[in-house]
Amino acid sequence: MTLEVQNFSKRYGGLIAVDRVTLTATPGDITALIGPNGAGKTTLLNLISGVIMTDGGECLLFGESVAGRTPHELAHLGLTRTYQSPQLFDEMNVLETVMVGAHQHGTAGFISSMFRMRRTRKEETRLEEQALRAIERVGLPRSLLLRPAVDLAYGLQRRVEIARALAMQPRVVLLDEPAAGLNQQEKRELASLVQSLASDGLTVLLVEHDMDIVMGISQHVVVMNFGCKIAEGTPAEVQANQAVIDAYLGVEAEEPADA
Amino acid sequence: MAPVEDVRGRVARRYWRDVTGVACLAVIALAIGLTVTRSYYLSMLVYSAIFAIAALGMSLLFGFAGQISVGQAAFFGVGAYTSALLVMRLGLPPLLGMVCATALAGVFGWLVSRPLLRLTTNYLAMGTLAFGVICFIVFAQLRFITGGIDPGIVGLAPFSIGPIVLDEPRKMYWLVAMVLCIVMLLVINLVHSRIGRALKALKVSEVAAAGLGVDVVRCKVATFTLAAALTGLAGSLYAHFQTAFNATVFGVGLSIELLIMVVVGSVATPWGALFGALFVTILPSFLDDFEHYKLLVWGVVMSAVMIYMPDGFGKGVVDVAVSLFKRRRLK
Repeated sequence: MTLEVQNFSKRYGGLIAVDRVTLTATPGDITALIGPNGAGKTTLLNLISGVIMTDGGECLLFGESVAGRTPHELAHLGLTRTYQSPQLFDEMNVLETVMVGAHQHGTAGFISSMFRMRRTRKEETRLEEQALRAIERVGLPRSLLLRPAVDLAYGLQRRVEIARALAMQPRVVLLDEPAAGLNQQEKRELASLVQSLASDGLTVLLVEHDMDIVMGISQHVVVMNFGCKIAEGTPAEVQANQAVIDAYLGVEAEEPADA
Repeated sequence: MAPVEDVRGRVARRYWRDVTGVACLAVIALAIGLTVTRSYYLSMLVYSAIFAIAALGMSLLFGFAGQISVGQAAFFGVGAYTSALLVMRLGLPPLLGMVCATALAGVFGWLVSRPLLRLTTNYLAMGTLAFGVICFIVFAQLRFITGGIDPGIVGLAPFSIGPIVLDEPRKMYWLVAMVLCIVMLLVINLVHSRIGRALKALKVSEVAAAGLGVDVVRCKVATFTLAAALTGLAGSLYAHFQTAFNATVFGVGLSIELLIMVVVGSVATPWGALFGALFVTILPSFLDDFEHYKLLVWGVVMSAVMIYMPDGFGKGVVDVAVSLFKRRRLK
């Protein structure tokens, strides 16, 4: 198993945002994490990616315990993520932004960068190539390379963010609502991009509200509600699950006995 | 589509544009050094260049890494006193003193950066301000080392390299101009590198940068250290140019001026620090004719720059120049 989350929990005062959630994600598969708004999906993603600290439970990445690691340590182990609203760096063009993704494949520190040693120059070329490949992979046209990333259309910003994650050459990618705010055409393109990532052997954990995408491309679906995992299985199994239907459509209030 | 190998090199191209800028700077500095003879003007330029070196540190720290400091005068002071004491009491050659001053200011910066950088934004500004004030008081009170406010350091020898004594502005100009060009090149190298990109990234979003493998804490600490070292280097040059100074120089006023230089110049590029240092050092001397209205005029000019050139005076001038050039071509 690539990514194994065991009994992860997070509480904020009296609110249990994530309550002993267990899930596994395997290479080459898309594992989708769904649930109504406020179910704790993004909190769980933040826990896995080390942005916030867990209150209990264990997380195994390639068999190694990684709960409590910082995001940059996790990045070195090959785990990266994208964000619900694209976290792009203003003042940076598309190429530079994606090159930040390749950061950990370089070694140049402050001193060797300041003196721009031969090794550093070679490394710069290598990082640029790596970034260009990632940009190509997500299908961004080259004419956009030197445009400020934040000036692009929303759909393209999403692609830049995915390219930036791919430039890291990760083994596990967490995608937080990558289709939010995209039009139908963009959604279709995104779905096939995510699918192709998985078929390249990446482990993809996808948080998404768009059911067409989730049911269309994922192999495994985990459903959360009020911080708990309420169901798990293939898309077909989950769609037939009564607890899931209740969570999404609500349960009819029972008539008071003495009405 | 052409393979990746054919389109690479775009990042390097931007870098070479800035390197050309440094070459132009060197040529302009040379031209000024050969033609300008009035020592008053040369002194102004020496002060501008010294402050530009410190402002370049601030540009990296504030403009690129987004970490504010209102206490840089402390490092300027550490640099100045280290140089003065090593040369006057231990008889070290000024060049060695300058190297030690730079290193010591850097070490000092590294030490205080660990606790200070736990703070962010306004709190970091308050923290560094307090640190600057404390250092000023220490400089003023440790009279047996620094001479305090009166008499301060008196009778420091001018900078000398072997038998060459840089005892007038004209000679000091050459040294300071050279140091400035070297520092400018080093800073430009850094900005156009993996580290420079990481700094720009963490300025916008520390979480996103960390998620891509950037060691945010280490980057911030190293930048703070580097900025302190550059400020110390500037302090050392200042001490030798002045030959006599006291603790009042290293008050909060200097820290704020360094910050203003970067903000007025432009936070987006190291060239802003250079523009800002020239602007902040030279403009007040033009205002001498206004006497009592000096501060008022200064305030109005500053406000105008902030309102009409929010990206900084340096960038504003360049933008105006570019748009004029383009308009002429359209005709």
